[in-house]
Amino acid sequence: MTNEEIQEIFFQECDEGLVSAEAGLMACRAGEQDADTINTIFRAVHSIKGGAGAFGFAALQSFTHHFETVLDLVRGGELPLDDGLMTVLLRAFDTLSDHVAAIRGMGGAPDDADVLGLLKAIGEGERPAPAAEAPVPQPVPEAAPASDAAAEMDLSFDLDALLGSLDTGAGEDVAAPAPSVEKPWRVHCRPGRGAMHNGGEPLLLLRELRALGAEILSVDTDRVPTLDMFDAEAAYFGWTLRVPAQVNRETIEEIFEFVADDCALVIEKDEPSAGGAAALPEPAPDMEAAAAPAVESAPGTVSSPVPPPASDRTAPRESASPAAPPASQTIRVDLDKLDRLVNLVGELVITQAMLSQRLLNCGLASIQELTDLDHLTRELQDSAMSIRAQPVKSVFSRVPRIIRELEGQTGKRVRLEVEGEGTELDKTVIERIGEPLTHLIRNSVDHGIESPADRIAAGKDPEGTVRLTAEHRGGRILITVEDDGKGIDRERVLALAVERGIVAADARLSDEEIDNLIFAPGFSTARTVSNISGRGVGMDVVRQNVQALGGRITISSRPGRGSVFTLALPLTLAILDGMIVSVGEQTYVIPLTHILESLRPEPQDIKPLGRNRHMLDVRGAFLPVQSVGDQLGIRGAESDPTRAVLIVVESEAHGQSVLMVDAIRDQRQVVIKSLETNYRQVEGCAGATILGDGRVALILDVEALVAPRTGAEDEPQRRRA
Amino acid sequence: MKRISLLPVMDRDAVSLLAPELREAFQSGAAVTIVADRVDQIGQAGLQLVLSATRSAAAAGVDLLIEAPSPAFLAAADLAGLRSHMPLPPAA
Repeated sequence: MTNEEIQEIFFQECDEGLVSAEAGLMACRAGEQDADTINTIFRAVHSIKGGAGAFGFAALQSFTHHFETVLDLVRGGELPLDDGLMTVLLRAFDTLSDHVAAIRGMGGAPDDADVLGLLKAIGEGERPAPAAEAPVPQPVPEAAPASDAAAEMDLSFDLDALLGSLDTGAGEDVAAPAPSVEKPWRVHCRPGRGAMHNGGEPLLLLRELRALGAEILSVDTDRVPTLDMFDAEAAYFGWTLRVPAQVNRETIEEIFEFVADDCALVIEKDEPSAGGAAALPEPAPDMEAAAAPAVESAPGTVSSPVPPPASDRTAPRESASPAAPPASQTIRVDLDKLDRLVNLVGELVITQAMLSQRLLNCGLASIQELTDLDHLTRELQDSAMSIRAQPVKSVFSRVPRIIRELEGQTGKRVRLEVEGEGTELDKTVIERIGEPLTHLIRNSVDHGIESPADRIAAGKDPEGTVRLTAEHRGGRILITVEDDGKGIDRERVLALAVERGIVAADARLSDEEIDNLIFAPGFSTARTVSNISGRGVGMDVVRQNVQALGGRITISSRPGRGSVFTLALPLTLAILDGMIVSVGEQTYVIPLTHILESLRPEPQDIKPLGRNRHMLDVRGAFLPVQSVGDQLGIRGAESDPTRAVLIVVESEAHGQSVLMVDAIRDQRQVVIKSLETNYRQVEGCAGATILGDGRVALILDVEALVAPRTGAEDEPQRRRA
Repeated sequence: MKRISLLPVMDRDAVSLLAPELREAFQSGAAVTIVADRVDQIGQAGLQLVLSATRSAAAAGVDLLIEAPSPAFLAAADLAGLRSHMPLPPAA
C-alpha cells in the first residue's frame, strides 16, 4: 500500500468522522444530549486528531486537541451544553471541516484563531457567552491563512516529508495540562512489527511525547541483532520515558491510539521503585513474530522484562475511549476495481442479450435455462449497482452548515428538516448533486424564507422551515427542497423576464411557465447582487447540472406558502431504460425518461409549418415535430409524419416536442457506453449501447435534438390552441 | 576500507537495499565507514540498521565509523535517545 493510499484511508475516516460528529451535534442541538450522542461526537473528533498526529498535520491536530478538550468537559458533565456552548461547538465543527478540507488540498487552511481562542478559553474554565451574544458565524473564507506553521506545512502526504519533519517537537501547542496529577508518568512503549507497516513511523510517537515534555529515560536496543539476522521489517527498539505530571493519562494514551494494535504500552506513576528498561512491556505474540527469534539469537542480550502491575497495563486495542465501537463489517474497495466490476457486469448483460437473441432465432427462446440466466444476470446487475450506491446522507450532511452560514449572513431563522437520508443512489450521482443542492438551499433561504419580522407580520412562525427529502420512486430518486417562505412573486418574475427580453411583452404564460422562468439563463430576482444566490446564474446552473445527470428539475410554488423544488435523478449512470427505434437502416435508443407517449397520427393531426416543418396536434396542444432522420442525416428515413411513428418527448430546457422515427422495435434496459471514451462525441447522441443482436445503437440526446428549433425564447409562443 | 553511503531517504526500502551491502562489507573483515552526510530523512528502520551495523562491527572486531552525520540523522538519533548507542560525536 502506498503512502497516498494510506493517507486516502485517513481522509475517508475524516469524512466519516465529520458526518458522525455533525449528526451528533445536530441531535444535541435538537435536545438529544445523551451520553451516547456526546461520546459519538467526542470519538469522531478524537479519531481525526489521532490521524492528524500520525500524519503530521500539525494545525489540524492542534485544533482537534482543543476541540476535544471542550467535548471531554461536556462528556464528563463538567460543562453544561447550553445554547452558548452549542454555538461554539457548531462553529468549531465548521472550522474542523475546513481544516480537513485544507489537508485534502480542497481549500486553504482556515483562519481558526477566533474559534481556537474560544475553545482554549472554555477548556481553561471560562464559560461561553450566551447564544444571543455569541459571535455571528462568518462565511467560509476561500483561502485564509491560519498560521505560519500551518501555511508552511506541506499538505500533501509524503512519508519522506513525514520523516523529514522529525524533531524534538519543542514548542508545539498540543499539550493540555491537567491539574489533578501530582507525580510524573513513566511510559514504557515497545512498537511491534506492524508499527512500521503501511508507512507507520514509531519515532513520530516519540515526537508527540516529547511535545508533551517527555524525556527519554532509557532505550532498549538489546533486541537489535547483528546484520546477519537483521530484518528490515521488524521493530527492535523499546523506550521508557518520563512524562510531566500535568499531562493527563488520556492524552498519553491518545498518542498511541492509532498504533494500539502494534505497540505494547505501559503507563504508570513514576514511583521510585518503578523500573527502567526492565519494565518494558512485551508486545503481543503476533506483533513480534519475526523479532522474537532475533532476540533469542542476538549475542549478549539480557532482556528480562518485569511485568507491570496488571491494573496499569494498557494492552493493545485498549485505548482512551472505553466505548470503542465494534469492528466494522465493511471493507474499503478501490473505486477503479468497482467500476471494472460494474463494467464487466454490463458486458455480461450485453452478452446475455445476444445469447437470448441467438436462441430466439433458433426457436429456443422459452428454455428454462435462458430464463434463469436472465434472472441471475439481472440480480447480479442490481447487486453490482448497489455496491456503487451510497446514501444521500453524505450530501445532505453539508446542508446544516450552509443553513447556519446563511442564518448568520441574512439574519433569518431557519429550521432544517431532513428525511430520507438513507436513500441510496449511484456514487457518481451523489458526487454531482452537491452543487445543485447547495444552490437550491441557498435560493430557498435567500429568496424564499422571509425575515423574522416579515414572517410575524404574515402570521407565520418567525422561524422558517426548509425541508429536505429524498425517496425512491418509479426507478428514480426524488430529492425535494421545500420552504415555507413567501413563494415565487410571479408578477415580478414575469416583469423581469419581459424587461430582460426572455419573453415577449405580450406573452401569456401559465403559472407553471412563469415559475420556470427562474431557470432561464441570466435570470435573477435579487434586488441586490449578494454572495448568496443573487448572481443570476445559480438556478440556470442547477438545471444544467441536473440535466447533465440525466435528471430533471421541477418547481411548484404557492404565493405566501412557499416553494418546492423537485429533482428527479437516475439511480445510476450506467444503465437506462430505453425505447429501441429505427430510422432508415439505423437503430437508436430513446431514454424512456424523456418519453411521454408515442402515436401514429391521423392526417388531420399534422399541421404544416413552412415548407419542411410540421406541428402535431396533441389533444389541442401544437408541438413541433423534429425528424430524427433529418437531424442526424439518415438516408432512407421516413419523411411523411402520417406514415411515421411520432414520439412525444419532454425536455427540461425546451418543454414538449415530438421526435419522428420510422418504427418502434423494442423497449429494454441498455448498458450505456461512453462515445467520448470509445469513439468521439457525436452530435445529437448521448452515448451508445450494444443490442442483443450485437449491433451498436446510439442513444439519442433528446435535449440536443429538440433544441435547435425550439429555443427558450420562443417557448412562450407555443400556446394551447 | 569499505565506504557505504546512506541514502537521503532512509525508509524501509532503503534499509532493505543497504542491509545486504553492509552485511557483505563486514564479511570482508575490513573497516567500514558509513557515510551519513546525505541523510535528509531517517526513521526507526534506518536507525535500527545503523545500530545493527554497530553491533555487527563489535561482534566481528571490525572498526566502524559513521562519517559526517547530517543534521537530520543526528536529530533522529537524539529524538530516539540513540546517540550514545552509536559511534557518533556527543551532542553539543
